[in-house]
Amino acid sequence: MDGAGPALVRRGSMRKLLPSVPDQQQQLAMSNQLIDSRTSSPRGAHCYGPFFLEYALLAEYNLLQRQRLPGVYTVPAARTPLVWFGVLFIRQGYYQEGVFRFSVIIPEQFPDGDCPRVVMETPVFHPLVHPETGEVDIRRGFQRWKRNSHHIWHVLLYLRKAFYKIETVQPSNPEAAVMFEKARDMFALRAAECVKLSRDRLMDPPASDDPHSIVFSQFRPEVHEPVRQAMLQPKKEEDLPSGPASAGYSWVQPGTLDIFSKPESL
Amino acid sequence: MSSWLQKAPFGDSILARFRTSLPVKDEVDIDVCVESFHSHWEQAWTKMQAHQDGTVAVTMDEVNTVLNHTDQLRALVCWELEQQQGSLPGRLADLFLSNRVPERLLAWSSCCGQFEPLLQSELLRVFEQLLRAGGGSLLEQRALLRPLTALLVRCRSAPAAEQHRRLVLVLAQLCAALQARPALLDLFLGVEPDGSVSSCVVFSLLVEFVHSAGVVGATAREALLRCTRLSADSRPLAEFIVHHSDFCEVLATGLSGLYSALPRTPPAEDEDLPEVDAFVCSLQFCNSVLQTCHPMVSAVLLELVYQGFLVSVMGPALHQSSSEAVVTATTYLELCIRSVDHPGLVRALVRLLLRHRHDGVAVIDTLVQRIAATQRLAVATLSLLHTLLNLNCEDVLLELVLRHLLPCSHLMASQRSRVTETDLYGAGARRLLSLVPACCQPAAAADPRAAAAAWLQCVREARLALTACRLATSRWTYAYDGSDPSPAEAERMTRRRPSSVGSLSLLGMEERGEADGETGGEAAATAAAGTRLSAAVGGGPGGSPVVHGWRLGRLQETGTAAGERTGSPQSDTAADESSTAAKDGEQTSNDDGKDVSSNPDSLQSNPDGLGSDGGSEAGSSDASVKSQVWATPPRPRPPRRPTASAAGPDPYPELDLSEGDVWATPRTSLGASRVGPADDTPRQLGVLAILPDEESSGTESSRGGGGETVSLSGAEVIGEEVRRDSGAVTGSIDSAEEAVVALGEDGGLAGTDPSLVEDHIPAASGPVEGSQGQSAPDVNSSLQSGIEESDADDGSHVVSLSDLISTHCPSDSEDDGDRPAPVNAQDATSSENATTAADRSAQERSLKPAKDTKETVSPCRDLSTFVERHGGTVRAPPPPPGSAPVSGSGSVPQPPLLSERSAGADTTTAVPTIGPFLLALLERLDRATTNSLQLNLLLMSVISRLAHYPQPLLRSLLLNPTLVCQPSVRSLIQTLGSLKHRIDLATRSVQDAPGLVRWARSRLEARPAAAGVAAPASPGLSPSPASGPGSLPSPVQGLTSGPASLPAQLGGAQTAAASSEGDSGGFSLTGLAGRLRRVLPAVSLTMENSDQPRRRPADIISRTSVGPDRPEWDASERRVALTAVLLEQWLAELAAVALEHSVATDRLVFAF
Repeated sequence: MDGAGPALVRRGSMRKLLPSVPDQQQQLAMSNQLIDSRTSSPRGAHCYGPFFLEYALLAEYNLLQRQRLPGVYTVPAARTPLVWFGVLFIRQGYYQEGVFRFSVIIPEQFPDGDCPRVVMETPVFHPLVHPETGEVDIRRGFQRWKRNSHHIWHVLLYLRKAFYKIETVQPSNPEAAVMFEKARDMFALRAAECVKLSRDRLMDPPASDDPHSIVFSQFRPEVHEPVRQAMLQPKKEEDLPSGPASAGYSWVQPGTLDIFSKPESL
Repeated sequence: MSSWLQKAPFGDSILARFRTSLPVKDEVDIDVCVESFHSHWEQAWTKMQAHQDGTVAVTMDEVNTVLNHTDQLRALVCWELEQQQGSLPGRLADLFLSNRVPERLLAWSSCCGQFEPLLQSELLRVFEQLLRAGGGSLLEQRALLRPLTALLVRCRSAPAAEQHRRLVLVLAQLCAALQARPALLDLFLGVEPDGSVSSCVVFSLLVEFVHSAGVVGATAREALLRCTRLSADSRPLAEFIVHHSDFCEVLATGLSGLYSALPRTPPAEDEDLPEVDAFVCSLQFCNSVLQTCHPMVSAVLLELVYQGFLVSVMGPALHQSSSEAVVTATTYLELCIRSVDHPGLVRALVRLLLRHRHDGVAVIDTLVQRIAATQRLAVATLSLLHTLLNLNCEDVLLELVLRHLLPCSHLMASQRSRVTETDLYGAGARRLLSLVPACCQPAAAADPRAAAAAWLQCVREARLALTACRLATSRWTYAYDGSDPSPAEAERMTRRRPSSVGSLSLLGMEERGEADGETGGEAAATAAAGTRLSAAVGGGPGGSPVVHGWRLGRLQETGTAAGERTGSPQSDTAADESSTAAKDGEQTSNDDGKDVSSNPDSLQSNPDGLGSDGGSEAGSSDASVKSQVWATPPRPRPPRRPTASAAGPDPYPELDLSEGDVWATPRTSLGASRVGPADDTPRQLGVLAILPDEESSGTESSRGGGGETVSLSGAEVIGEEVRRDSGAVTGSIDSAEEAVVALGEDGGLAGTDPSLVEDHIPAASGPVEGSQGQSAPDVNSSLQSGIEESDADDGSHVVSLSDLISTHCPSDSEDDGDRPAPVNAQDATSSENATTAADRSAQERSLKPAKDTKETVSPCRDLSTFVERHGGTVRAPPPPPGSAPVSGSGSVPQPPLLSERSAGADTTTAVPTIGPFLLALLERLDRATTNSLQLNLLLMSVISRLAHYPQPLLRSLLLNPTLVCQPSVRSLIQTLGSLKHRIDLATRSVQDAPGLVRWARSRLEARPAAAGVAAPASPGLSPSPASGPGSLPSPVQGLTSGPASLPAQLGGAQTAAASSEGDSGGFSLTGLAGRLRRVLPAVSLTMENSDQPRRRPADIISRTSVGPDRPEWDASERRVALTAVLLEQWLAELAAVALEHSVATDRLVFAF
């Protein structure tokens, strides 16, 4: 409920005191691991484990790519698959024109662990964003992370929605919540400040030195224009490499299931 | 100038050519050259004139002088030609031509008697060099062209090899010149008044050398390629090639000729293979021609290659009676597929496999059945199938696999939407890895880094392979994802099929009709099939021309002995068939043909009618056809088909069959024989099976129809059943104790295949042979003896025998339709006395309890397995081909039991199946612990290759463990699970199991050293025509194990043989080695991941390197351990494939 992860030192002790919920999950994760180590060969257990995680994340990323969430861009960090860098472009609402960097932090037990966390890089005044840590309360949307039914793109979708439709129940930032409820003008002002801040700091070097962290730079026509044009050009299908070596054969005429029904074309 | 005149004596003239090749220095004044020219010509001309009248004999000396002078002239002109690149002849060339030097020389040469050939030869050289120097620039000059053509014509009949060489060189230069200036081509085309081209000297001459050996042949072929390239843009030339040249015929018949010269046994490793080289070279030449020539030419050439080589030579070769010959032919066919890459040629080869019917059975069905055959045959076959799968050909996959999955009948209804699901979290991979045998669990490969590296390698290779496969199949017609086409669509399209194919659905005829139709032959592709058949039949042997009319006409035209071709039984199956049918009696066949062909739809919709009427008729005609076949001694093929189909009508009274099944069986066999309709029969069967109320009449009549067959071949039927029973016995033991099973199978097997025994183990054959004819108890005894023998006996044979036996196990792949190896057994059986039939069946029944025991005993087998096994017993022989063969795998004891599904057949949802191919693979995999190492490796690589295909229907079936199949359908995971279980059981009691596994690992790891192979792993996805001639032993693309590995492979085969035998170290190799060398198929192994050193060598365990092993494990234990370790590695590979599938995406292409 509190959305705090191990990163939040302050809450760390509380976890120890109230271990029930997370422990269940941990137990689940552990038992999963146990099962894995029992079912797969020990060799597999220690050398395939990371692979499975990476494959799972890669599959998640592929799913995300297929969603084409508007205004959300993410890229996994180069050094760890467990961190994805992202940028959120807000196109309307209180945070219109905001460009917010964030990181998605994925638990190591994924997909069996907890819900992935999202941390904003610049301070964002928002009821669901913790004022000190910048963590967005995503978990409220995913009380229990269920593999196969929950996906990382859901998290990003939830994140995006949070900036369009403001929630104030059980806020991470009570001040923002109250202000939103009681003094909408003030809230709008504060939100606009955030937007301005985010844009002002857009060109700053990213917080992380990971090669994949997202860097903004000024538009320089000589550098970017050709690329832009290329992106605007529709891609021709023929550009895929083909040829006898890479091409398979098919002589099945569409509309039939008869082999060799296609006229022989030479 | 004088110095030039001091030329060497005549004998030296060849050297002179080099010495004088560029005698004129650049700075030499042209005037001096002209002067020199005149002088030389004057002297030469004087000499020549002296003998114009021919009265005085020319002396060597004079010839010599003239030649020397002309050589100087030639040198001068060449020099000039090389100096100036202009199109107009220079002064010297002008002189050369205006003095009509070539013409006069040619004229003079005919006066020179014995020196004429010499002069012609030198003249050829002159022309060649002029052409080389000047390109085509001189060709436009009549003064050069006319003597040149005249000379060419004259040389045509020259016997001297040297002259041939010269001639070909000139021709090659000519072709090069023509290619540079295509406009000149017209000069060499003899145009008729009507505008058609009737002659082309250059081309016709070259064709004569196309099969020549050495440089001459190579040069000629190269020149011909230039010509065919020219033909691409020159319709007249193309027309000439097609209509007036025998080029295509020469190529096609050449292939046949070269093929028949190939060694009949797979060659030994260090053998030089000139025949193979020649054959491959010729095939690749065809390939190159096809790639360059005019579509008109390629159409004709392809058709000729298909009919003249593939169908008439390759087809029968694949169906020979001797298992060894079949193995060899299979290997050669694989070599063919690997050697070509022209789509048309690939198509022709694939068409032979998928469409061509030999004795009414599609070749591919036969191949699929051979997966269950003897080890050697199965290895060769699997290797071929692997190559086939590597083509990424939709038609292949459709026929082998996808057609059977399209109806989604193998899935529980609720699961159908899950086919496309992505396995996000590696469940498939985890499941696969969980199936690693327990004995491998304490990972002996202690070094985690090495393990990780190996795993990474696995993953990388899987990714490459998947990417390539995905790309290659991206333009397939359908997605095969359960909705494109949907099961309903698939059914609709399948239903429509017979009519869409038109009336060509007659067995055997279909192929032909299609072929004719494709090439536009007038053989009435549109005629009703019935008419066609009856015409062909009615005419008897004379009727064949109706079928082949077009082609034969062509052949006659070109002087090929058409009669001979038609007459030869080998020449063409269709001819074969029709003539056989003709003998059989026109009336019957006519009826049959008409009946079947005229109303396929009514047949389909009205099973009753067909069952009662057409069925019996077809039956009788069929039977008589068969008897004919038997009666014909010179037939190259043994009565395999008949036997197979005879096995169909299964009188086994206690089987839990619905009547429909019994009914279906004989019908299918009929359909599969020769006259039945290809597609209609099976479909109809399907219909019947689901309409129990229709059954009774159908059954009756079909029984009637089948009865004939039975009476004809009662002995076989019995034999078949005996085998089944022995199989059942084996099966019962099977679940209880693996090792015993293996022995039991061996023994039982040994009993089943007398002919093989005869062939190979004369010693053993005596006692064993008899068992075939004996009753069930005898089977038992033979089983006993088998157990005893199996250890001592020649491993290879026992193995193959065991294969045979297990083939007949009910649990094993579908009943034999025409499985070559079993054939032998059946052969023997057929000679059996039919009187013992009743006897035997009674005894069989007594054996039946064994089967039941097995059911109850087997802990690891679920109902489905059991059902499957029983289904297996009644499984009908393969259905007519073009359609998919029977897939009786899953038959539920409940109502519509086993029914046939075939391509053309009604795919009615009721019959869960995954198709015979997958079934055969899984069943063979089920026997992994008794397979040879080599066989296991191939089997695994074939399944891996299938797993590379991204088509969801296939991928989900193979790799998604959560997909729920129909109970009767066994998935790969289930099969692996039961395999693991059996391995675990077998290794549980072994003493020092970890030690045994360590031994197995080191054994497998030792292979690379033995093999000395280090082929770079590249997913062998593309046909590599590059695989040069002689690459026979190493045809696997990308993974070619070099020639060096062949001995190792042979060694592996010994192991293979031994391994099913127990792999015992103390196994005597004396004598065996040599024999294996001779008979082993030179199949290279194709593990996709061969880059991992430890697995690459696929089959290789060098016996010697292993040496005397620790003696405390017996043979079967070692075999199991090897299988376990192999399985462990393969599972890692499959897991990698599964993981890669989960993250595979259509490639995003960024342009920047």
